[in-house]
Amino acid sequence: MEYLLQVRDLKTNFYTDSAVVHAVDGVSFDVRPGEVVGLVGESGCGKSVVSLSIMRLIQYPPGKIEGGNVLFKGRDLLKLSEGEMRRIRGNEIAMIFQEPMTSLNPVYRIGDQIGEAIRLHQGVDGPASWKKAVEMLKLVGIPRSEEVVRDYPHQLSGGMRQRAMIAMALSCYPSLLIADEPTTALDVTIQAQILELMRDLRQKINMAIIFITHDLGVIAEMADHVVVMYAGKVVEDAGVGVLFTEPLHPYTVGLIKSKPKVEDEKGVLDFIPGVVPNPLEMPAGCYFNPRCAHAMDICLQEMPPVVEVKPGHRVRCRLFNKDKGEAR
Amino acid sequence: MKRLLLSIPVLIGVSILVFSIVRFIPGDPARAIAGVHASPQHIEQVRRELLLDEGLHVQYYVYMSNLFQGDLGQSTFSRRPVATELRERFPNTVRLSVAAMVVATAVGMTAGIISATRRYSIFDYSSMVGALIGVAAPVFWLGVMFQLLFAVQLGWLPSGGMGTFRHLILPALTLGLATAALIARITRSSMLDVLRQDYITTARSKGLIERVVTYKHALKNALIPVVTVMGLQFGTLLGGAVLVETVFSWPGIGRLMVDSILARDYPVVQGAVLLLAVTFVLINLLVDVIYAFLDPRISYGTREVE
Amino acid sequence: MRDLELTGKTEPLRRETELRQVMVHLRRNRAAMAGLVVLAIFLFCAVFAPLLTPYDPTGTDLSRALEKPSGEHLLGTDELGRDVFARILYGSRISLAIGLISVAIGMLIGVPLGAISGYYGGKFDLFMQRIIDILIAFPGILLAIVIVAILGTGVGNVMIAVGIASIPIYTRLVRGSVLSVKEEGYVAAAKALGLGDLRIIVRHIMPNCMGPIIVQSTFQIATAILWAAGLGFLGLGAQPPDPEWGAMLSKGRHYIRVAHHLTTYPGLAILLLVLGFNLLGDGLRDALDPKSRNSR
Repeated sequence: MEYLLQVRDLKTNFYTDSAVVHAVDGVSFDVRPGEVVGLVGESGCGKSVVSLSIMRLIQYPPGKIEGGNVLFKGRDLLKLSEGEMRRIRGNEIAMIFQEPMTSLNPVYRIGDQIGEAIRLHQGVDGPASWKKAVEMLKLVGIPRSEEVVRDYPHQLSGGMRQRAMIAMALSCYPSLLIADEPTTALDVTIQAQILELMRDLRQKINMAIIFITHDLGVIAEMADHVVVMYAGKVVEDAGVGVLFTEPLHPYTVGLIKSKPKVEDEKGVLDFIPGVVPNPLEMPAGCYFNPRCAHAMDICLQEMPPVVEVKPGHRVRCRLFNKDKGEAR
Repeated sequence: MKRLLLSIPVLIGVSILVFSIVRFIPGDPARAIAGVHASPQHIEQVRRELLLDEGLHVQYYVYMSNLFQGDLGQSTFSRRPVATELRERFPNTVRLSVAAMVVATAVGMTAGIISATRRYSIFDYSSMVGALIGVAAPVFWLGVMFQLLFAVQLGWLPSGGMGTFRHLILPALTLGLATAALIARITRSSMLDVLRQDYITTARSKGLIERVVTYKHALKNALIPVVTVMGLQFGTLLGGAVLVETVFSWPGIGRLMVDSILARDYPVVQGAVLLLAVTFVLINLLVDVIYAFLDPRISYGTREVE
Repeated sequence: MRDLELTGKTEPLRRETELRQVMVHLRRNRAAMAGLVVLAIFLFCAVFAPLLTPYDPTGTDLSRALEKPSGEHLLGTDELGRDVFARILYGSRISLAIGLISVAIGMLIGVPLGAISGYYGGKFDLFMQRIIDILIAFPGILLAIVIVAILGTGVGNVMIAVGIASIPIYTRLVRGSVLSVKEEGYVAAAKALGLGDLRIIVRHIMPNCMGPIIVQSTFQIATAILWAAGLGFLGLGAQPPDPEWGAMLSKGRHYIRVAHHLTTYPGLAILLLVLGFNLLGDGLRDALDPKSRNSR
């Protein structure tokens, strides 16, 4: 099995009273077993929608997956029945979210929430799942896990809560973990600890991770392969080394250039002129053209196709379209 | 515990206000109570009974010390102790209110949950329109309409009085419906709000079936505001009971109070008002307890030790 | 931000566009518009009642008592031969008057108390809070009943009773809003400029509390009308021969077996009027609350 997950031409729309937003617009990428794939882009580029689409957790209304395939271990998740899909969720594919504060249910004990997936997918009873929950909490490095398992979420710090979330996600040893900005809401030091933990656990249980973030620093540390998204489309995808040394798409170049040396959330995007286009008023042609220094006439008219520049390095930009590129 | 202490000044205040009912009557309270055609001797007797010539603090002191001995005075109408009258009537009001609350909770929550999980469905629209009407319809009119339909025209249920379970159905339904409407609206909006939360996505991402997501993960959170509203609604319910008891000739505290007001039987009025207000304060205390049970983030200092 | 507010020019401008936004939003809300139409019809009936019916709402004609609805008497006649339709028309005057005046009473007393309580805090606030706690310990309509028991019956006393019973609602509401607005930058700026407290409250704080007050008042009018009708029904409100809906219903229900139109129609009138205010209130709340504005 070469690929664990193959996303092909995934399309997810959101419907409002008056308009359709193409939040994910033909996204394709692959994940190998045990590989960490970073999904990068500014907020609103559709990266979280990709993750929810893979899990088939887009709520209708207002959202709906309108096309494409999500092949997981050779099966198309989008064609499974809801029951079959539920057996995959939390079991073979698990997910952690950005906000540990709001991602845990405030009215249930930690152990209950971790044990829930274990009971569901492994058919163990209450006390056994509780014991397993303690084990999982130990695994993610929570001290006094016998006590914490009885705590409610609000009694834990943000970092501890995110560890508990990870324990919950890993409780059935999934082969794919989708981590949606898992460290964004945390302090820098806690952030480093959580990343360390995820790297460590990934090797222990040999799972692949789709790591969603807007933070290139985290990507450089974590990912094997990077997929850059802009306005619902993949604009570039390459191995992590290649991407940082030879970025091709002007947007990727901008992102890397604007990455501050010192961790500083503010002003990261000041270096790319303009703002992400309003999803209701997408520019004609390449969506990036209003912010692109290299925009050509054709960029204002047609969406560029994806070109494979080298094996494993694809980019959606006219600059590297063979004929056009050479003509320049 | 802290809540319990906080309700003490409220109860004292309520007692002062109730005590003042008689003293606030414009003109000569004794004459007002005794009635327009009362003889001077009778007026004088009323004045003596109510200690109206003493200083206010003396009056209040006597009133309160009697109150603590369970002595609420004597009905000027039936000449029986007020406490006895209240004791006879109060269980009926409790039975009616509790039955109404059961109706309201069952109907309201069910409708609210179904509406929220099937948003924009026909059920959602019709139950929300029903809720709008339920909130706007005067409870006494609703009662009379029920009498007309179920008692006069269909003949299924008795139109009034008390006795069998069948007598309870219409009054409880009448009294509960407005509260049901309100609970349905709150449950719906609270459920919709909760279903948008991240932890619901977390629950779904575990592979739980939608029923567990809705009833285990969403409902308990959604109930928190619903319980608050239910507590407040119990007050509206007690107020409404006054009207419903009148419609259905239900011998409860509310009707006793209204009859006594019309008969200028002030000791009974005072007793009934005091009892209803104290009941309401105690119910709110109970709601706080339920609240802490539902929401582990709230603790009234008892669990902090852990 | 602070400096901008101090020029004083930006604020009215912002408010004007805000008002327009609210109006636009309200006009798009079909339920609220329906409520407004219902209210307009009732207002029209109340004002032009004498032109809409030839009958005197209190003129009895025993020879024509308890007639069923007909071409002549649209909604029939009551036990004294009075035209029910005429009585409902004139009754809308009483109900609207009670609703509006009692809410005005509640507002006039409750709003300043709440504003002072919230703005100054301290002992006065603490004292007010306890008083409010005591008043809201009387559930629902009960406080109004108690006050009527003291003052006696009649439309005027009902207005006062229902008005007093709604004071705590306003005091709580305004106190809460003032507490949250008080900390805003422009209030601090106004204080720094040395403006008087009264001026700050009236010019800078109150305009920002108006939204919740308007919404609450719309609902409160509905509640007041229901309470007043309830008092009328219990015989504690308007007295005969006033064509008050609750009192009409109370008399009419004795004839429920022979002439249910005596109860059905006054009740429907109350229901519609209350529904109108509630629908408008829902619409106003959605329009004034920027959070819910987008989520619908």
